[in-house]
Amino acid sequence: MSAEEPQGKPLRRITFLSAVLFAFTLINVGQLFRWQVLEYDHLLGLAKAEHDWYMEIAPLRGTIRDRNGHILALDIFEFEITAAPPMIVNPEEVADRLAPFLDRPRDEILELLKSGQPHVRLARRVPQQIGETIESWALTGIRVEPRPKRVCAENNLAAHVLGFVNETNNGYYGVEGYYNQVLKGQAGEGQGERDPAGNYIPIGLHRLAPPQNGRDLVLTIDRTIQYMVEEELEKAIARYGAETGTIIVMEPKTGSILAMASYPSYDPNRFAETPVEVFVNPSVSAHHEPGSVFKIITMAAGLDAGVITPQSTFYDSGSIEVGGRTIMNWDRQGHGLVTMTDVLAQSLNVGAAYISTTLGRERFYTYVRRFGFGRITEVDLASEGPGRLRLPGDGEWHESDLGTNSFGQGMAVTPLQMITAVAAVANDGLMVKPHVVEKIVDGQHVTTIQPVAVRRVISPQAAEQLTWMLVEAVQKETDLATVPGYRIAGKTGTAQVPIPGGYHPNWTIASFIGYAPPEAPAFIVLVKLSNFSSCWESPRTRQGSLLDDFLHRKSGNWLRRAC
Amino acid sequence: MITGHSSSLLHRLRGDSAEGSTEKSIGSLDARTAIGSILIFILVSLLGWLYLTQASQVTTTGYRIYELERERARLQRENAKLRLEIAELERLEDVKARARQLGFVPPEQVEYLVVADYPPDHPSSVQPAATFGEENLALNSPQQEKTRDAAAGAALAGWWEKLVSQFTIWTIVQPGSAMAEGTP
Repeated sequence: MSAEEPQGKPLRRITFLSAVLFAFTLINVGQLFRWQVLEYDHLLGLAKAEHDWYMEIAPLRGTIRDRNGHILALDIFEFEITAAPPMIVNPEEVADRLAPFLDRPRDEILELLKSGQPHVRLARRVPQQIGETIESWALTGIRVEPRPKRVCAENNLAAHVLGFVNETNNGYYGVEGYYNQVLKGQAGEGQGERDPAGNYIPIGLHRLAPPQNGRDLVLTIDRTIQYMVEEELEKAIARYGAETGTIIVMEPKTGSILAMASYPSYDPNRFAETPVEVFVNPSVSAHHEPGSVFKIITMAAGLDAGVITPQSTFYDSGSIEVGGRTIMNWDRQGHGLVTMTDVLAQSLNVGAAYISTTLGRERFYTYVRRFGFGRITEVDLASEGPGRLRLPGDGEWHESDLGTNSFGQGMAVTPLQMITAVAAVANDGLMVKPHVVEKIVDGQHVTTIQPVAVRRVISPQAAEQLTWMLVEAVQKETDLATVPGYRIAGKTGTAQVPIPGGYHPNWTIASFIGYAPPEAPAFIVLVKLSNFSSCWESPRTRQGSLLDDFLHRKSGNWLRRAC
Repeated sequence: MITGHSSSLLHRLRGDSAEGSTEKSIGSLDARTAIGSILIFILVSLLGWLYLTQASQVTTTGYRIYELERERARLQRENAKLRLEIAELERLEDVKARARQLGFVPPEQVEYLVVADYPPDHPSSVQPAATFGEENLALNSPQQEKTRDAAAGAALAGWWEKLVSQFTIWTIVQPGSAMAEGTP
């Protein structure tokens, strides 16, 4: 037995060693099975996250310029700072360097860097200078990626015309909203590999599809006129304590809008801090009762249909009954035998109702529709509204509407509808579609948007007659609207503010539409102030004060320039 | 004995001779193998060198492209920043404030000259679309643009000459006002 012992020991040792090796191999195989089969997808993802990079390259949004080439909105760059914590060797040092630049506590950054997650965002919207500084450090595991940011160079100038762009590069309201697909462009993408230190591997998989930048827009807006208009509007709002106001300046022959301003306005660069209701452009979306300026349309219809001439007379007894409702003049007075020019000059409601009833409901509303009321003008701005117009045959229409509509009550129009309709009179009876974009620029290719005539609304003869009636009306109605040395065709208007159950006892909407020179109108202006308490004795005095402010004292200068 | 010895010698001699030829053939085979191996080695080296050179070239070019792409992106960003700076410097609010700083004031009285035959800068009339809502944006053809530009240029030249002569007459008639108010 003792002789067998030396032979038995090595055998046991070999067996033991074999068992150890077998166990070791089993563990290895087990681990390999776990890594290569069970956790394959997870580990592959980690490896890819470390070695592969993929980046969506945001396109630059098209630049928006005014008609003279001044930049109104453009894209600049901000940076997004992200980190891959597993790749960062010394998180404390990286946190120390980044904290002063990222406007974030050092401990917060350090916590993120030590989180062990494959990818964390440290900061968004970092200014260009800071982003480029951090980029120049070339920190391992820190990625600095540029992101476009929309900036309106003139801050709140023409805010309602421009609209705004959110963080996902989508435009809302104004031309940013209407031309979003034109301005937006198409995102590109970059794909490749990098080494553990984060360096680019040029011989690895590499693919770069550059982004397609958006097309540029050149607007019909003249920023100088826009600036003056906004300045005057703000002063008038402050002077009269009005809640809202709108001014539009347009070329009647082409429909090009030179300026479009509304109060209250906002800064598109800070849209996130702005109440949503302010984004809406009142010039195209908000509707109001037009009041006496609508008498231009009634008069145009009467002249074109041949039921009246400028010299036609009628006896104004001070009231007229239409559909069971008695209509009276603003001063509740009768004016005796008056001409049609007097109807405009003295803004006689009874005279306007006389014309509409003489025309009859069918012809009157045909003209009203022909002038574009009750439907959108198709201007190239987002969120345009059609106004509100009841027509015979509608359930809501009443016979008395034929009378009240003739002087702009019982209906609602947008300021743009109103100015477009009167612009048709200024343009020899031809209505032109209003527009704010003059050119679309795609590199070297420029597409010029030509004026589009919508339809003839009245004859050139009727338009000319009405223009000279309006010139006379302005001179008779208030000399404050005149500019010495120049003739202006125009009409003032006041309207009450409708509220549920009737009209507001104090609030008023005052407006003026005028164009010049009457021989060949170069521009047309609409001014509207809403919701202010009257402290004047009569609407005419009130209109006169407004005209004094807008036309005589201030706007007169640029009316002259535009002539 | 002699025969036996002789045959054995002959055999040895024959055997030696065969062995010698085998050695000879082995020697020539080794030489061919060596040459072949050297050729293969040279070929492999050449291919390796070619590959490495190309790889190095690709890497260098790749880095260069990468750097150029980065540079292009940087310049694009710089360009956008400068464009914003220009736009901000041209901002009307700032221009107005700067003008005031420099002592400019709004004019109290402005003289305007009415110039006859001022050339229109827009077409005088447009044709109506067939029906409302059916009109499309009409786009200018390059030929139309050129014709219109040429006509506008000619009209402008005539207008400018008239304006200058009118202004000259005006300054003679009212030299004081021209000096006091500047040119319109």
